[in-house]
Amino acid sequence: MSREIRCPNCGAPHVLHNPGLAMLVCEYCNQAVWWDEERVLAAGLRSVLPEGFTRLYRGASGSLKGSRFTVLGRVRYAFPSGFWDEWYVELPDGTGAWLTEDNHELCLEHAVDFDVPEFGTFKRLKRMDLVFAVEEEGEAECIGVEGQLPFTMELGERYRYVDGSSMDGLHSLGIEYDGPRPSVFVGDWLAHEDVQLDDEGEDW
Amino acid sequence: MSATPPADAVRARPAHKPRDVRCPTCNAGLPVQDEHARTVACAYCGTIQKLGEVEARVLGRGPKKKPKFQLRLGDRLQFDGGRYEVVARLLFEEEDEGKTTEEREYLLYSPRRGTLYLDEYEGDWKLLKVWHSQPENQHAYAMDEGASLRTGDGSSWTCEESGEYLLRYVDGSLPWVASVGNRVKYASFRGAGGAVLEVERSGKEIEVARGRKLTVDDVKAAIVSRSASSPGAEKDQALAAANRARDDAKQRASRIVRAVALVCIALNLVGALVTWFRGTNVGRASVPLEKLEGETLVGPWDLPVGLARFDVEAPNLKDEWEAVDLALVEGDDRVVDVMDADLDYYSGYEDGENWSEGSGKESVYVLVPRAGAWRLLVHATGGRGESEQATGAPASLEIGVFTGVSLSGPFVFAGVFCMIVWVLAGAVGRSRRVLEEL
Repeated sequence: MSREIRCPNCGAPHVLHNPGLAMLVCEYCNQAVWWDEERVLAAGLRSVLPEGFTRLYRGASGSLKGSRFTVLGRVRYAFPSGFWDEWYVELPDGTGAWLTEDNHELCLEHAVDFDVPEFGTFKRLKRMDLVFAVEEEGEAECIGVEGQLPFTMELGERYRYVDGSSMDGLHSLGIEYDGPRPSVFVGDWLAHEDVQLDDEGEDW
Repeated sequence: MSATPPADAVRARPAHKPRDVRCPTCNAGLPVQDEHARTVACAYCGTIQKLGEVEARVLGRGPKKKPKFQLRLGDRLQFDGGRYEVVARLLFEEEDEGKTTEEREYLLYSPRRGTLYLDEYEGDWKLLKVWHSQPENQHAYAMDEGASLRTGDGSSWTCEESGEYLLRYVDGSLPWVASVGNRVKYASFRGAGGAVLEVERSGKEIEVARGRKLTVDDVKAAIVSRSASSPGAEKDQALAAANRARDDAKQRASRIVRAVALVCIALNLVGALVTWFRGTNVGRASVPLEKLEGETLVGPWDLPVGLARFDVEAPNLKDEWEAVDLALVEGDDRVVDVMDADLDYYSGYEDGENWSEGSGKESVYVLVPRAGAWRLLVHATGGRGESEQATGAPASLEIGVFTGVSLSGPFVFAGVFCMIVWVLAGAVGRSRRVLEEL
């Protein structure tokens, strides 16, 4: 069952199909909008994220390892030497997934539940019968959001993070020290052909 | 929940529009294809600027003299089904035992596929992509040649070389902050099936890239389109053509000079051999040891006008030296010319090998002014070992007399001169490795 909400800033209509969504950024006026039961609230103006530089884009559709998906939104994080994007994609059964894109490499991640050591205290981590090597650690800041997301995000939110890969190079590890218990994500690095877009933009 | 992806959420791909950054020094427009670019180095004036919160912060200047590259910024190449554009070029230098070597790296970018590294080192090419499988040795970037390495995917690698590169030049845009003078420790490995692995450490960051070797023909075949806007490209091409023409002319001249020198060497060799063996033996004389203490007359021999040769030999000389004075005597006592022959011969056994040096034989030439009967007045003295003190003649002499001889020395000297010319012409005409665009 779909639902329509209007941007409280410019009045543009937005149709929401997924009840799991919690916020959107109006594509017309860049107003961040979130809702709490019956209330639709404006959360402030978001930065405008440039488009066209990435393979994925808001509104892209295609197949992910054979399963259809649509890109609903994106969160961009900055770290001292660059930034990465996390694309929120909706799957045909209505569930969502996150595709992390770092330097044009894609990784399909999902949350896992295991303890991790304190930030900056390890270079190798053995979990889930895998040994992960730390590739990078630092502090990230949310610098932009667009589209529809399953939670609310604030610009300027900061947390420390650790990124790594399994020794065999097949799996990624992402740890966000964003609360008393860090959020941990494990994913699969995707080959280019694992993701097929309906509009690959082969004009490039 | 929706059974299928919401059709109204789908939209067309936004166009890829490169940013156009202005050089703060020369105001040139610098297209930036990669949104992740953190450094832009002006290909016109060499100014290196960092992109970030403040859009342009000048980090420094590159060298005034731009190095040569085989590919231009903006050239497009196709690898593994994807099209890439050359967005940056880097020149690294490495000092190795006093010799400076250069490696050129081309950063290839595709907004759909990311970044590839195309490296060229003395004509050998490698195509690399960042790889996430980890080396088991955390210091793989510092391993020695021949050392073995395993990576987490189970692959085995052998180190081909390692060292430290210095970044000498950069132009274009890069997704990291690069400054001339940056140092990169590296180790290159070869694996099965032509695979190559590169492990680099720059600052605290360690990066692993895997790829394959390419031939120059592979790279040429991958070029889809050439950039026409590369600064100085036409001038570089003209210079390369001029260098090539000059090189060709030098090589042609070198080939001609070497051919002439080779003919001269052969002629002089023949001349030296002919003159060496030319001459008629017209007499011999033996001078016993006891007669060498004083002055002894030997001969006479009938000698014609012209050059005559006396072969003076002390066959029993061993670890001794003998200085022989000779005088050409006309009739019984009229000396018309004096000569000398220095003989020495040493031999021994050292470190399991026999050795010898010196010679107990010497040829002496003299111009006979008139035909007639001629004698030789002979006197000799000498000593043993390395002592310079003469203690008397150490060995008897055998003297052979030859007429109708020629001097082989001029042929030998001319031959040596021609050899020098041959070598020098080869060095001058050697083709220098001129780096040209592909």
